[in-house]
Order: sequence, then C-alpha cells, then structure tokens
Amino acid sequence: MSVCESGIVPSIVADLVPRLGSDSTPIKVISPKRTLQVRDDINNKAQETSKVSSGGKARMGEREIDQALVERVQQGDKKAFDVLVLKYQHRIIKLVARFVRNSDEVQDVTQEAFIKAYRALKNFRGDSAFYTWMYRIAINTAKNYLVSARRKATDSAVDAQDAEQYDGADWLREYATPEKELLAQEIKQVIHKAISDLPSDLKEAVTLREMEGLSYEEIADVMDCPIGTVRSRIFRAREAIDTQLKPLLDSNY
Amino acid sequence: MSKEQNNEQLSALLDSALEEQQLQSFMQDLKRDPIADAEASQRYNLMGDVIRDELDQSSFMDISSAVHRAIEKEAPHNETPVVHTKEQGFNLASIFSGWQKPLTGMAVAASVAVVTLLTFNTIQSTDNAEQPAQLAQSTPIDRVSTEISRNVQVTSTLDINKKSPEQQKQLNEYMLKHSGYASQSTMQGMMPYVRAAEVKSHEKN
Repeated sequence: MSVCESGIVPSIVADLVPRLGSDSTPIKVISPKRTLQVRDDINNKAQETSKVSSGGKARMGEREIDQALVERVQQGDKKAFDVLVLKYQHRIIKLVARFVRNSDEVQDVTQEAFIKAYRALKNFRGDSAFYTWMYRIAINTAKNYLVSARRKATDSAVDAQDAEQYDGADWLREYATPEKELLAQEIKQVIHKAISDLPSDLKEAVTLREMEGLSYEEIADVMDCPIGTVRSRIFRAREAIDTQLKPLLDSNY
Repeated sequence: MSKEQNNEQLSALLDSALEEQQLQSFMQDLKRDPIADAEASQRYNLMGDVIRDELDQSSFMDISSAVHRAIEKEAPHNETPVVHTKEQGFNLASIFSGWQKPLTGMAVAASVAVVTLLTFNTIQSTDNAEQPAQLAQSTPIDRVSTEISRNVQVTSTLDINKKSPEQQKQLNEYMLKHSGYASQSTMQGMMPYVRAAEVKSHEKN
C-alpha cells in the first residue's frame, strides 16, 4: 500500500496547505508525531525502491553529490568548490551566527572556515559526509575566533535600554533598525502572498520541501508523481515567488 | 542551456537532488554566471527561511564571491608541491650536505681501522705469560676514543689456547666482572654496545 493510498499524507497536506499564505503570520509546523509517522511510511517505501529513477538515470544522494564535487576539487577543479560553497554557505552562516553575532564577523569567520576547508580538502577521504566535516571546521573556526578575540557568544536577551552600552549589542544595533525591520516584514508579506497565489501542486511541493524538509524522492512518494515532476514543481514555485521578491530586494540594495 | 534550465538545476542542487548527469552538466556549463547563481540561491534560501519563520540577518548574507576570490589565490590541489631551489650560483653548503653522510661514515670507518690496528699491535707486544688480572688491566681498550667507540668491534687477539682450563675459567670470570663493573661506572674506556659474556678458546688445527 502506498503512502498516498493510506490516506495519511493527503490529510496532512490538506491541513498544511490552506494555511500557507493566508496571512503574514508564520506558518506553523504540523504536529511532530504525525510528521514522524509520515516520514517513517515514506522511508519504508523509499527503501523498497531502487536507486534508479524512472528515466534509468543514476540518482545521487547528498553525500554522493558532495563526494563527486570533492573529488573534482581534489583533481584541481576549483569551480567544484564554488558549487560546494553555494550549496552550504547558507547553513554554515546560520551555524556560525549562533556563536558570533556581529554580521561582519559572521561573514569573516564563515569565509575563513571555507578557506580552511579548501586547504584541508586534499586530505579529505570521505570517511564522513562533507557537510559533517565542514560543520566541524566551522565550529572550530568560530570557537577559535571567539577565544582569540576574547569575546563570548552574546546573549540576545538584553534589556533594550542597556543595549547601547552592552558590549555584544552589535547585532541589535545593526539589524534591529526600523528600516530593516520594515524590509523584513515586507519580504515576509511578499513571500507569503506569492505562496498563497501558487497553484496547489506547486504550493504543496515547495511546502513539503521547505517546511517538512522532505527529499525529492519522499515528496514524489507523497504526491505520487515522478521525481522530475517534483523538481519542476519546486523550481516553478520558487521562480513564481522570486518574480515578486526580486524587485523588492533590488529596490532596497 | 536557457536561464530557466540553469536555475532549475541550481534549485535542485541546493536541495541535493541533481542526478549524476545533471551534476556533470552543471559543472561543465561554462556559460554559467556565478554571481547570478549566488544571487538566485540567496533568494531561494531566503524563501525557505521565511517559510520556516527563520528570517534573520544571516538570511541576507552571501560569502560565495569572497571565498571564490580567496580560493583563486590558492594553488589547485592537483599541483605537485614545487621545491624552491636556487637555480643559479654555486652553493657549497647544499652540495656538502648531500655528501655529509657518506663522508662521516668514511671518517668513522677510517678511525675504526686505525684503532683496531693500534689495539692489535699493543696486544701483540704484551707478554703472553702475564697474569690474568694484569691482562685485564693492561688491555689498552681505554685508548679508544669515546667518540668513535660505538662503532668499534674489538676482536680478541690473545692466544688463550695456551691457557689451562683453570686459567681460562678464571680469565672468563675476570672478563665478566670487569664488564659488570664498567657498566656500573661511567663507561669510560668501555665500548657501550659490547658486553663480554664468555671467553672461549678456539682449537687450532
């Protein structure tokens, strides 16, 4: 019995989708218990299927893709490292930002972590996933930075009146400006509006990907369609949102 | 490849959902604009952050160009490390360093030969009727330079065949005692890697 036939997933998607874009309030994740149940069903089904897509092409997991890129870097192809940076910078920046609050410092530390990774990549043998390895480098770089700069990770729970005097208030000073708050609100509104205007299949695909973190394979099982269709739907959803978002960002930067 | 196809590949790449062939194609597409790719990926990530209600200052950051510029200055990994040498000019030190080991070895070997000869001559001139205790004391082994003593192997040239079994046994005991005392002292005059265990007579045909 497929996941869709079981009736579990459609009811969850039905719960989920109408909430998207209804207003500017954040979208809440469905109950973790139900999500886990869905994921288990999907994973069980995914294990039964072969690793060859309908087109007969070899499907690569995240680790395999990364390993292929790493091997290209090891063979001297620097462009492959650009792709790894493109792929992981967002996650690594978020990680570093947990340790270092100042935005310039976050970028410096993240950049240093990637450069260290490039230099050390020669000895990377793929015993662990690239991201796990990169994660460790980023953590160590951030910690070393804090030690060398004799700074402590800041606590954002600071009284507003003390913020100006607070040593770690850079984050508050540079981010929580009225202009940036306004822009952030506008961005949220535009994106939620764009999602609400999406056709249901695109909305469903992008939501399962971004909110539930499902893989394309899992989404294909949920939506009962080929992986290529999932890829296309997610891309078209992003493009539709981007059409609304890009002018806003261009006018503000 | 159209811009739309480019972005579809980029979208799938960010989700780790590219097939092998597509990844190869993505990598080999020389017409790709890295800046456009970086901007598009930043916007895609921004969408994800908003959907998950994780929008913060880091959602707007992009370091790909900075890393790209820094990596450009680095050597590619397939390059073998270059050994920097002075191509011009006569460098005596470098030439000598290459020959240093063999020369040192030859010097030590020559010293050993000289010491062996000296030892041999001195022992030859010693009276055969000497008492065992005197033999042990007069053995000119303390002439051996401590610097080269580690490499010296002294072959006994004493004709102990002429000694009676009792004398040989006594000689043996003296040798062992002397060896034991020397190891407890500062080892001056003794060869550190030589320990006498037994003195045996060899039958001459």
